[in-house]
Amino acid sequence: MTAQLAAGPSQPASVRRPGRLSALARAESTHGVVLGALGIGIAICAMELITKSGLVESRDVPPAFDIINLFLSNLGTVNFWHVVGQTMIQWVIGFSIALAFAFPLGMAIGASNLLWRALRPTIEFLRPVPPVAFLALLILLYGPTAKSAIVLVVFGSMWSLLIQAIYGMRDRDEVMLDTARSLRIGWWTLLRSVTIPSVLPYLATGIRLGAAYALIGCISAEVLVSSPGLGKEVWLDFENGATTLAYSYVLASGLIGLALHVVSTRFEKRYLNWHFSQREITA
Amino acid sequence: MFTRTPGRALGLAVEVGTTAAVIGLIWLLTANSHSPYIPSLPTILSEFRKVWLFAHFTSDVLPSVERLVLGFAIAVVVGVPLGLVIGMSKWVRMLTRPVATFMRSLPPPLIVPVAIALFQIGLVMKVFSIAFVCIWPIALNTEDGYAGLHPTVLETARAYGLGFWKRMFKVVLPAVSPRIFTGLRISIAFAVLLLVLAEQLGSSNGIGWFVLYSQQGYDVPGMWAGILMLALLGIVANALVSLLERRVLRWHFNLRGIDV
Repeated sequence: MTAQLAAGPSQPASVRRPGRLSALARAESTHGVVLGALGIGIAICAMELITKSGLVESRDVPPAFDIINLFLSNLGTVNFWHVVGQTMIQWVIGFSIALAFAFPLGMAIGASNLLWRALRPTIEFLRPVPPVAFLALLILLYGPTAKSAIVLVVFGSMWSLLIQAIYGMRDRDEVMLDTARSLRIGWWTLLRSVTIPSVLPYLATGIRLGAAYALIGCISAEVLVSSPGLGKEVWLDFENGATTLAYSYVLASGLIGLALHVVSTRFEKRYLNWHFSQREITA
Repeated sequence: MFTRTPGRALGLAVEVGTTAAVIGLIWLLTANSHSPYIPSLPTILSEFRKVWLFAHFTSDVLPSVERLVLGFAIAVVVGVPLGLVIGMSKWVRMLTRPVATFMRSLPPPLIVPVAIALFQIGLVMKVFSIAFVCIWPIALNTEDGYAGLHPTVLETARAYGLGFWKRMFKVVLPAVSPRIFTGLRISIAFAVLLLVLAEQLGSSNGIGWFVLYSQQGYDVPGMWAGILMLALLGIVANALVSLLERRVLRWHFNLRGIDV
């Protein structure tokens, strides 16, 4: 709550004044950074202690500092970036495909009461089907290729985009739509001044959720179908007993997930916080 | 043109009709498919009946359900109190936020190989994978809900002299419950995902295992029967959580279709 207040609509850069309130907000966010760093430090030390005390074998969980060291030295190798690149390329291709077809499709469905009514049972029935259920089929169809991962990325992220597009269209203000109709404004003006402002926040939410599910789909395929990328690398390293290396790639994947989350949340908050759909919901 | 909402009967007809048409379309597409990997719908359905009623029911469905329920239950039992403890104090929230956000951002599929390394292949590995991933959405939503409570609520409860536990169970928990359910709905999808992955990566029974086993034996209808069962498991698990939510939150008149 406090963090959101500090970063939220209370202080856009243009109107920020050197007042008591902004000083308070700044002190608050400094506290947040310091305490957060302390928290990370404690977590790392706790992990180090668990291993050093012999509670778990260092073969299973290597010391935290070893993992971080290896991760840092990996940053300078070509192979590391190659593996990260493989995952990210699959993610980008799959997510772009999902974005290009699922969001417009959702907008089309949401635009018509009849269409939404007709397709709703199918959509709500199919949505909870776990995409990973089809991994075995992907092994048969495409084998350990990037294609398998891309299919799972599309499948994983399309629902969030589709549903958010439908909600966005159905959330358009009735009065505004009626006004637009009685003013007989053209479809272009309607799109620009009613539809897009209403749908945009939902697009941002769809992107935030979809981006995360896309990464999950991608890495699922890499772990199980051996599509190239981080998931395959982690699995192979564990199998070869290179535990520290495996954990360093887990760390890298976590940081990528974190970066996606932070960027998409910031985007959603900064540019669209005027919209009432900006309730604080953690997904 | 003004859009009119169709009448009740007509609306129902549209819903049922389109759904039937979608199924019919799948039927036609699969019947005319030349791919050896996509059998026709009747083949899949009859295989489904043969496999799951009840030859493989106790040997594969029940273990899967057991793992899912255990993992999810642990996540709820740990996640909700964890969220409440973190949400209670601003300082604790600041201290834990980066670590918790990192944990939540870890791609769930990678937890499975880590769990295999830690616990070897077995029940613990699967339950741990599910619980570990599901804890974070539940805890973070509970925490956010608690932090977002209006201070008046807590102060009023305190002014009335309610003790700590009473305050927790009578005031905080009901007030935060819509957010807890948001966490549960996100988590149940993760739980099914982790179950499927864990059963395919390290198991000798369960629905996930059955799918992979059939695939490796080139038993394509069997594989599809398994996929259908996994889909059903996901749908039922999700429906149960939604049902519970509607039951528990009936009082929460504000409940609109906020969906994540």
